[in-house]
Amino acid sequence: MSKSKSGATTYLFFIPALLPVLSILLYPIGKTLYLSFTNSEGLTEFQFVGLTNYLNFFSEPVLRTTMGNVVIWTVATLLLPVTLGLAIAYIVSGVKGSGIYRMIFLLPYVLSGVAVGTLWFNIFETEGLLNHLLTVIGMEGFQKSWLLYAPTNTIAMIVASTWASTGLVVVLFTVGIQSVPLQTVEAGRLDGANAWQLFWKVVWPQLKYIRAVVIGTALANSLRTFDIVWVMTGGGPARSSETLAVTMYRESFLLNRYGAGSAIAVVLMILVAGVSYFALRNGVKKEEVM
Amino acid sequence: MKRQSIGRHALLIFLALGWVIPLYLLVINAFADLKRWDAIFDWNFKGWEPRENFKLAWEAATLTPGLKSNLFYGILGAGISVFVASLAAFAIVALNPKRRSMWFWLIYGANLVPYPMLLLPLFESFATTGLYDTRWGLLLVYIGVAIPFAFFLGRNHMLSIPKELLEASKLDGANKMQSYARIFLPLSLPALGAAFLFQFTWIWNDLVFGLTLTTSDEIRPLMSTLSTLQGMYGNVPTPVILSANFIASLPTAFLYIVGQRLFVAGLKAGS
Amino acid sequence: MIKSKKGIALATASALVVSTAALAGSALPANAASKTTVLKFYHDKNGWDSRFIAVSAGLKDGINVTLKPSTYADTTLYQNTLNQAAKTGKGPDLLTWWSGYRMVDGAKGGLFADISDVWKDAIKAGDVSADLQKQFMVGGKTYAIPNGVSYWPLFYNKKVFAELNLKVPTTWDEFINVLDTIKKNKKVAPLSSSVDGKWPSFIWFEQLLISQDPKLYLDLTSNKVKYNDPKVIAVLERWKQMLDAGYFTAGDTSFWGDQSKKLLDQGTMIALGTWYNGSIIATGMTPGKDYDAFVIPNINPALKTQSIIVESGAIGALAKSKNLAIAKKALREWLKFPVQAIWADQSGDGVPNPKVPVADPVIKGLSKYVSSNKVNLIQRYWESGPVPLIEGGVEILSAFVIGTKSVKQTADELTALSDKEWAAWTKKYGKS
Repeated sequence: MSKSKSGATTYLFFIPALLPVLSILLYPIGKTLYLSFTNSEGLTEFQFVGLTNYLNFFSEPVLRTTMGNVVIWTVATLLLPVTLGLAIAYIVSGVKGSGIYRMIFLLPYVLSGVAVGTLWFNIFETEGLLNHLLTVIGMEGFQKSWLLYAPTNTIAMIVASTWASTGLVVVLFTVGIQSVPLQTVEAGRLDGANAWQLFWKVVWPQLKYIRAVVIGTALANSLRTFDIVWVMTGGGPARSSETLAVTMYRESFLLNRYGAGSAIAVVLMILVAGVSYFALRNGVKKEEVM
Repeated sequence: MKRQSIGRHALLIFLALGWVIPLYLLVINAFADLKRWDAIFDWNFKGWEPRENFKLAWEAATLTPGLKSNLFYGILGAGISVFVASLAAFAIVALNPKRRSMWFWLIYGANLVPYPMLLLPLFESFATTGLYDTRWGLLLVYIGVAIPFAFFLGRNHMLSIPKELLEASKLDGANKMQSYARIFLPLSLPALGAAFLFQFTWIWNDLVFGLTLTTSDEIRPLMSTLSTLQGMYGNVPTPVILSANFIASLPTAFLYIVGQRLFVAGLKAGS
Repeated sequence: MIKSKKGIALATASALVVSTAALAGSALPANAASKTTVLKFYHDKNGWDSRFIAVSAGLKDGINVTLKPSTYADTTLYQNTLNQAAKTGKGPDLLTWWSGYRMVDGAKGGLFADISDVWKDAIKAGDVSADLQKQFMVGGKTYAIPNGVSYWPLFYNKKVFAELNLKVPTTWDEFINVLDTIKKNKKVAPLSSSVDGKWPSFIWFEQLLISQDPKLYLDLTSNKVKYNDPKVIAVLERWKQMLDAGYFTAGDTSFWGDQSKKLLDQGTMIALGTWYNGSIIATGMTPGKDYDAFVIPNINPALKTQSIIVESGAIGALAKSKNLAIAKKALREWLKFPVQAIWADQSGDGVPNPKVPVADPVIKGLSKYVSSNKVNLIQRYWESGPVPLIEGGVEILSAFVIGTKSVKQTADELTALSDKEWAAWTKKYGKS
């Protein structure tokens, strides 16, 4: 009974999901790939230029800054929203009033990009709320133009991003924690385990599937960080806070160099695919256990 | 036990402050009395006029068509994508298909694409196929983009369902659809519920797809309309802009409050 | 809260159109007599919808055409969407755009329709001045009409000036004195400056250049002089001195929405185009009474005349529009007196049609000053060079403004960028 090959009806379960996904992906991916080998720019005619766009991209001096920022965002996302979210989900699940706590962490996620961007811009700007607070508590010396200089501008954006997205992680881990069988937890408690041991020995192993979702998603999203950077600093000043996705957007949308921008998009996709595959490889294999 | 509880609360309150304080700042400035507003964000109250600012926000931007459109896109978009994603997740977890990896990456792979890359080619293909500036066209995009994450979440959660349950239902003579509907679907409701909420939120707050692929006021989602309040040529005071954004976020917030019970209370007893 | 001084008749007409539009969604306005053509109009001017609706009413009266505006809140997205519209033919009938070098790609690539005949007719009828035409021309043909004519003066708060006993400066020394007085007494930076969005960094670059040597600016922007020419470096040095002296507001300053009143009330003078006038009025300030504007004096006393930056937005017709003939008619009508008068009233800015009397006191005063003192009109930096050079240039200038690049670095990097982009531009488009 173990490895019965499924019939054709199995594929019917895939079709409804595949159709929308493929129909909106195929042309864009194909077109992007195609354009990446051309010098398409603006509205005028373009020619094939082979690997020129890719070569130019890899020899760009700003690439180091860009990739450095991507690494910073990835590490920060894994450290902050992920770890913090996990801790919060765990602690909250054991207290009264958990619903209210969860809502507090979740509300920022619900807000529109404009509300979040406006708020944090007004907190971090030179005449903003943070500097104002520093004056009031007598720490004027610590005032800065947070948004104008690296690395504080990236840090500021990471703070804003963490504020907005930790709630998502809290919910995901809550789903995972709630799925841990109650008996297992009780057994652990009866064995005299304290909260810390309870977490590591009992709960954490049970979270492996949700963990994969959180980490996989966090990785894919942080590598593609775009929105918050574009809105808060535009990748500036002088491209110092640019991430790879911002570079792609700048090249394609700002300068209308669709050929060059497409090449960057392809590189970014390969990067995200590669990292995701690497991270999820365990998850996919363990399926064999089914 | 009690000491642990107090410790937990203290820690939680400390963390929660980090989230509450910015929310507080947002709220008091959004609802500041316009007569006392001097275009500077403040730590202190500058009056408290939520009703008045809401009213002005409602007048400044015609929110009704956008709200209606958003309900359409959000409910159908999140609902359909989560449903079809759950079917695919079930198949990949329980039905042992050939080339399992390929199916996984085909459906999940969409999550690896940087979304700005989709915008212009989609405009092009929409223009050619007549889907430009149509409700169904935009809905299709929302569904397509929402499926991968819902699929991933659903599939991983279903992996934690004990396989004995599936074997038992097979022995009972259940076909694939019945196994799905009677066992996997109910057991994965927390995860699917969460997926619905997240994708609903994403669709609800989307700006760029709406802005690029639609143009008429009746078809456009809410954020496209809202965004006209700010920018270089705008005349609307910041509190009103923020109030408008608050109104826009109310339905989503409401959904979470109601839906929280769905994916949280769920299975404490079940397992 | 959207306050503006409107003639009663105009206000009623606008209100009627707006409420009809709101009730009917965006349905075709029913017209019993003959069929009204609805032209789709894409623009990226958030907050100007009511103005375009007023224009639409004027077009309806004139040629039975109305506009259905679509706002694109994001300028970058807007431009790319329109590029796609140009390629696929699916898009607006009329659109807003930018003049000068920014028209070249669209003109050569088939975004805009050739409307040289519209201009010919309009110039003949005296509805538009011929010297406005050049900035909308590419390769001898004209592709758009002007969307207003905006000067770039310095807006100032009259009450603050009265309080500090200041007069409008006519020499550079007087100007510096004004700056010092405001700074000392109001404890604020007296001049507006920002790198928010990167583009504002060109504002003082162009302003200081034309106050020092307008010919240098023109040579620089036409690639006859390099960015690391000693004369340009001298201007950058002066800018640096002024930055170090604390004359400019912080790099993350915002000018939009309710910020105009805040800046003016605190004593800061604002350097922006007169299209900004409408925004100031909307905050409740009275033009001419609460605030006014002046032309910045020359730095170089040897110059015989002053210069001022001028800017005109563009309105064009989509080349592939299915209603092209009517769209062109609408553009012609747009330049006629009735619609131009509506625009002047709605925008509080200067308009291309010289027959329209300027009502706004600030604009009136400026126009009078400019014509009687024969002030040179200089095209804005944003439209004065290959697009990638300008976009990259403002990034470099932004870094200069906030102090992360020295004068020499800035000049050298701009020169390198300029050489690269001029070569690429000329290769692609030839000498246009």
